Amino acid sequence: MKRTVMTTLIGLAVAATVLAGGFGQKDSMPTVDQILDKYVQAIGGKAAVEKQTSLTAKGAFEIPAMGMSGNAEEYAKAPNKMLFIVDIAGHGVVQQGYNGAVAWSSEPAQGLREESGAELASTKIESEFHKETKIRQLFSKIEFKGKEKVGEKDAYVLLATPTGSSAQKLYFDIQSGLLIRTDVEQDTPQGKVPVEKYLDDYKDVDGVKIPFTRRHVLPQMTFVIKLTDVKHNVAIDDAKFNKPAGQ
Amino acid sequence: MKRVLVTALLFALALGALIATSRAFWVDRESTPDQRREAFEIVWRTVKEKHFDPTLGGLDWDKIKRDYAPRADAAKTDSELYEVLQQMLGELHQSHFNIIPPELIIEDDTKEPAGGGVGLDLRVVDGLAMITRVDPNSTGARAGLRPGFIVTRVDDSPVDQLIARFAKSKDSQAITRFRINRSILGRINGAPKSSVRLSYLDGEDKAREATIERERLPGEMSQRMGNFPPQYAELEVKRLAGGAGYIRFNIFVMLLSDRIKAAIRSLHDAPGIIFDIRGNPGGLGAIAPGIVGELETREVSLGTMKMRRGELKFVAFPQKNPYAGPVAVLIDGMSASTSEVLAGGLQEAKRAIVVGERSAGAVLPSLFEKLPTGALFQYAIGDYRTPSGVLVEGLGVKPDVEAKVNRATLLAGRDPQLDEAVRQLSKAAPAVGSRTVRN
Repeated sequence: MKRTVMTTLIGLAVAATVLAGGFGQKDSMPTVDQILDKYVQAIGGKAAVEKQTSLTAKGAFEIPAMGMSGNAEEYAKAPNKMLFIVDIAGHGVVQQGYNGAVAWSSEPAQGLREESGAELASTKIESEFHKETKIRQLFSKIEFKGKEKVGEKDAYVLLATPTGSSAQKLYFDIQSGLLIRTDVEQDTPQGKVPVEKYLDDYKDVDGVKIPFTRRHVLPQMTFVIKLTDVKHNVAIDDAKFNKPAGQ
Repeated sequence: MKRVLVTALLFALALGALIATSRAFWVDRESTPDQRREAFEIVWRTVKEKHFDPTLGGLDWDKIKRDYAPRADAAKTDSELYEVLQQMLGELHQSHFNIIPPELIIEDDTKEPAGGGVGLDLRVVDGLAMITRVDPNSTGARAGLRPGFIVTRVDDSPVDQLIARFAKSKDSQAITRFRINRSILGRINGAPKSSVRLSYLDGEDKAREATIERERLPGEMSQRMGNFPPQYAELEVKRLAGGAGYIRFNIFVMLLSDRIKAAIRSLHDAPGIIFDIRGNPGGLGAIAPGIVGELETREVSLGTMKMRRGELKFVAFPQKNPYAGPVAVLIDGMSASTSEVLAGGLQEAKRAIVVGERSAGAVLPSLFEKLPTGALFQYAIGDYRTPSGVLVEGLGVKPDVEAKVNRATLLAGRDPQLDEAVRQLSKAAPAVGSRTVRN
């Protein structure tokens, strides 16, 4: 049975995902591999994803309940560099970066700091440029946890446990195969913070589907990031990802 | 934004200011009954669903709704509604649950102070409004006001009547004290070029009266931060006789964050630094750890905020070349919220000696939400405990060395609390060596 579905998925690729609306026969449950493979296909396929080696993105940042807003920028570069910048009106510029060796963050009130321990381990995973195609390698254990609703959508749930940081629950839309939600107890120096991240408004950029709307739900507030401009394969100087000098 | 979680923001945006608003514009329209009902529902439901203690300390919140909803429905004006809402929130007997009417919200983002004053600060001690500080360059000073004088009447309002209005307040004593103080100062301050008539007792208890012109305040307005309105911000940095550094600021806002850090760095050669946060109502929670980061060589926790789901530590991250000399923090009963996090955290970390009077005990990290009527609803999202687990709300930070405001010493031109802080610093100051840690 598994082999049949797997063969079908591989053979029919994207067409299968569209036609089947799921993962095979009624009431059967897919394997972890099937879910992840369908996901990669859904976002454009391994080749399309791995053809991209850098990304720049711009967008808007908002905390609706607090009336706060600002601009967001992201820079990412293969294999594992990233820089995330949020400029919040009235607060200042918050940055988080990883240059492949040192993970750091800077916040106007609290200053500059370097990440370590579980937080660093988590950032390493999140900074993988081709994370979508490397989920099996990035997590030491991935378990299928059944079906759940995410809003109106039915989703398959995987529990992905990495080495050295907190497990993540990954929710894949049964219909489209896309990742639509992740839950994690984020490791921070302030403690573990439960974060639900909702991914929506997928759009095609150079053959890769990217969620243009991300909603981070925390116990005390909800952030929304809406992208307006995403580009691939833009030249980015490696130095951009380095930890800034302190005072 | 492919992947990143903004962990740096998780903590930084919790606010702890205690109703630190001042004059703004007048709203010339009343809300509709539906808007008022919606505002009531939002406030009631937010407390029910988001209060950090789901049991609300045993309070029957559904019954509270049954009691207060008809009163809210009967409100004929927005002001009446806000009074009902504030009374309902008062049932919690906790700080940081406030309704801030639109007329008290400063809307315009300008650096120019929105109001004016006569340059004095005061505290209500034993029912008397005692002047504790007079800016030497102010119109108040030029009119002859001095620390230690007792204000008895502001224009036509006797101070004892102003105080009596709060007799039936459902708020905690600390919040009530805070509101009384703000109420009196709010009447003394006002638009620049207007004037206020003050009746007072001078140093010899002689009744006097002065009409004093208000002038523009010397500080700046902070920038709006979402629903957190601009605040009047003032920073004073100087060296005291003997060389100790002195840093006083009236609120924790981003406008002052970098300036306070720069002030610390400018005082690296001082034999000690005093942070004067008497009367400081708090502000942005993350600024306290940011200040401590300039004073510490290691990562330290200043305490924990416990929310309905999970808890967060107030962690200070050591910054480059922190100040290593002795530190004193001056607090009093009007030091609230983030002030208490700073004082309590430094005290338990044994990085500072805390001098003065017990703080307000009003320290609940909070957020601001706009209601359909235009008012702001401030609500707490967590409690605060010091690193050793002491719940500060309702209790306050107990100073290591108590020093009370004393009319006689104020009249003599001394600040007994500051004098004590200087004394404590001189005991703690190392004899030799650099006071900057190079890292």
